[in-house]
Amino acid sequence: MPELHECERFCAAAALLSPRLAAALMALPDSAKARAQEIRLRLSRPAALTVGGKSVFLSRRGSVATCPPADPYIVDAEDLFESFTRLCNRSVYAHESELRQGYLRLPNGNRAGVCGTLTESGSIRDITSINLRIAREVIGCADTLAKRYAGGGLLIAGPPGSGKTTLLRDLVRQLSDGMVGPYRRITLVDTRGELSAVAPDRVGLNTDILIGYEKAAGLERAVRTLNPEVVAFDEIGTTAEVAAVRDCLNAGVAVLTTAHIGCQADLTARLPVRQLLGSGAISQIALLSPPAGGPITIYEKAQVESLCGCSVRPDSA
Amino acid sequence: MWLFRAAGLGLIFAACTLAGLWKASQLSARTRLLQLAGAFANEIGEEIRYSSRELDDIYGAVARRHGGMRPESLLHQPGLTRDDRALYAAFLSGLGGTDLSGQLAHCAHYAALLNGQLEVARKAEAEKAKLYRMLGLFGGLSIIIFLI
Repeated sequence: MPELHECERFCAAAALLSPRLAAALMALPDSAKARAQEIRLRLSRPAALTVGGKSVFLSRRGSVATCPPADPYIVDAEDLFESFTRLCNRSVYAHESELRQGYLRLPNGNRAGVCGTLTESGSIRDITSINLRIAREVIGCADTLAKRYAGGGLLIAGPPGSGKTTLLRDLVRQLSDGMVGPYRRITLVDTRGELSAVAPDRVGLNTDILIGYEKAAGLERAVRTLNPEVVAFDEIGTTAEVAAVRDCLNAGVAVLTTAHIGCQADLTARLPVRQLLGSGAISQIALLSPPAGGPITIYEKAQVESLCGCSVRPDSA
Repeated sequence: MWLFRAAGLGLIFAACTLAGLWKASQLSARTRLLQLAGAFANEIGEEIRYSSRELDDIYGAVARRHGGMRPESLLHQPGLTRDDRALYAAFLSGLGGTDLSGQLAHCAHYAALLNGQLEVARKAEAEKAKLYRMLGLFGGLSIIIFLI
């Protein structure tokens, strides 16, 4: 797969939308294309982008502004319908299970959140907004973290848009490729297909990928059949997933995962994160601050123990 | 002189016979294409039901089972009537736009409609193919006799 540069990633994502909208997005300057994280379409409202964590609005001429311009690009029903159909690759039925969860898995690791009216059968009709999230790969962003990785469980935590997924992806690659120690056998539980799809040939030499599995089920399958040293997955959020992590710990498998938090206090305030830290499976925490690429604060074992008031089990990996 | 006359009469006979044969072959071509269209509708429905792959992949899989002929290329084949083409085009345009149950209902509906067209085409072929062949043959003979 050819390497996509940042502007090309944006253009490849924009090309999935309606032709009229794609033309306006392609007219943006390269600086906006390279930094855009999301393309947000809302019915009868100006099209917007998220750049550096902030919303900017698209004009018909192909420029962006921090407030709605005089000639905004207003997203109409045809834009949304055509974009939705193209995002589904004209096969809505093939994405039914994803749509039930409110998203679409796209090429290159991109993801589109879809809003509309939920039907009785669980599918969506009357689409009212689409959030097209552009996946980015930053080779080397986990250099510092990889060097300090102690071999046990690691939690990458931060607010939305701080680069947790990008960091996890690069960390998995480095550990699997033996760049900072032994070649680690890693299983990547990639529920939404966005971790591995960004660059399928750069997930690591020693990485097995489970795509589409629910996280808890994927962790169980990995431990049972793939003999990993490390299991990695994105966004821990339920008690079932915490229980699965506990099972990994009992099997001697280290876990790398991410969690949404607003600030450090959320590490003990959010129940799943608190339970995760209390399980003893996490021996290091990497705390991120927005925007993506910002400083990373790494808590080692003793600090994690004092943070959650528990003991971390000895490193198992 | 008589050689030219004989050749001319022979050409007229051949033309009339070929016209009759061509008309008969149009009827059998229509039957064959409608049979194929119905098969495509059924197979696409089955692929959607069991594999839920995207449409392009399904078209490719179905094409491989039919000597490389993709479902959408059937629209450009000579032999179908305007109504047949409109029906098949409506079937193709409705693919991919709804959820699984909607797609299965769509495929079943159009498979039934195409089957109805096929029955009409079969009946027309059975009743008229021989007639056209005989018309061509005897029409040519009649013209020859008249000219002689």
